[in-house]
Amino acid sequence: MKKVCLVKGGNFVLGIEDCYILSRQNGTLAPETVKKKINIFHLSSLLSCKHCDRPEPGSVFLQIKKGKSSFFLLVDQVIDEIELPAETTRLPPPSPEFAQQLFPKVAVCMNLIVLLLDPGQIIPVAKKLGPKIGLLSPKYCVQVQVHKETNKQANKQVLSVAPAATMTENGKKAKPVAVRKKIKKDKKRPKSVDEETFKGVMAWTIAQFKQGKVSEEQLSAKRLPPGVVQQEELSDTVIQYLIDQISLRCQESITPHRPGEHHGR
Amino acid sequence: MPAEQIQGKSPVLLLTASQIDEVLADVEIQMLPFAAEYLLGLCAWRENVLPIIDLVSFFGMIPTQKKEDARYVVVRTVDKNKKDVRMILRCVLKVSDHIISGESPTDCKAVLPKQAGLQAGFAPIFVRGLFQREKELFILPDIAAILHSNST
Repeated sequence: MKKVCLVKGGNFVLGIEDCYILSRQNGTLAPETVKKKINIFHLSSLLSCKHCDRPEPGSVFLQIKKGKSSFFLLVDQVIDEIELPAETTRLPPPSPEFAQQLFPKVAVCMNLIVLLLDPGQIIPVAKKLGPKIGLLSPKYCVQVQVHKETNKQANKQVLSVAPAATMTENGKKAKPVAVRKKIKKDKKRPKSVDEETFKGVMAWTIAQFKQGKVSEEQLSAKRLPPGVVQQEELSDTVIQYLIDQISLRCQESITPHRPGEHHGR
Repeated sequence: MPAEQIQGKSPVLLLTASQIDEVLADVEIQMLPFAAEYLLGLCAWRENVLPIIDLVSFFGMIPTQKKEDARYVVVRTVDKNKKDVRMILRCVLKVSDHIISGESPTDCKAVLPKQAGLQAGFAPIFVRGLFQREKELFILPDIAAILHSNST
């Protein structure tokens, strides 16, 4: 039997073997710990491939060590401690590669699936995901506990800096203005895309728009159904550029023009 | 299949009865990080961990706006990647509650994805056949190929 700590990060629940957890701290880390420059990962952001905005109040820091790998992991909640049978299995296909890497073992306990985290894979996976993905800024590590008190003030700040979301004719939220500006500024021409891929990506992007799926995550190249991109050696950046351009056109076609507004061709 | 009509025809999934292990009214979905939209998550079925796949999303079709009750069909297939051993692969398909058991339709003709009016993004390698008759477009999914597609 293995003793496992069940933790929650965003929408995901996973298990960490007790033997890898050195300590647990609610809310904050001591400033001297933060100064040691140990990596601090925010589980929810890491698993959602995002930059960490602000940790949830009541989050828990877990000090993790496996072999040479040592870091803090901030989880939204420690749910329970359970004992798992030694018998484990692997993630079934078509599980994504990153998930297979982070969770090489899976167990079923009383009809509950427990994804067993391999702490040794957190740093390699985070590096592959991109710079700063899943990493928590040290400034939040000593502020999580006081977050509740300063919540109102923080919300005001967030409101003042958040890009204004535009509404479409259907009343659905379109991409924030700031995102659009970024796309327009990017004049760099990508590598050419073949006609089949172009048609496939265009059809998918338009379908996403028709369903009101217009958030950055919903229009991510990673969400394209398999088989749409058959062209070899086409990077995600190029595909994302194409999706962004098509979505920009979709937005323009559904956003009513203001009187007196003219578009040069 | 809970997808909008394509050229006036309702898309219908065809599965052989021997492929189906069980039809479930509900499943407890465990979310899987980094999964593509069509991979809804995992569920435990008879102590096995199975992926839950939404084929409407997988094939890039538009889901119907009508609210339909979903059913979860546990299907099995032979793993084509293992040449020496006959390995059984299982998964759960999210489908509409309109499930009919019967003989395979004969009054239909084989068509190509383009003839059927499927999106350019529809990948023929994930189907074993497409057939249509007056009001339906029958899709024979290749479950093994779908399971071996990369979901990232």
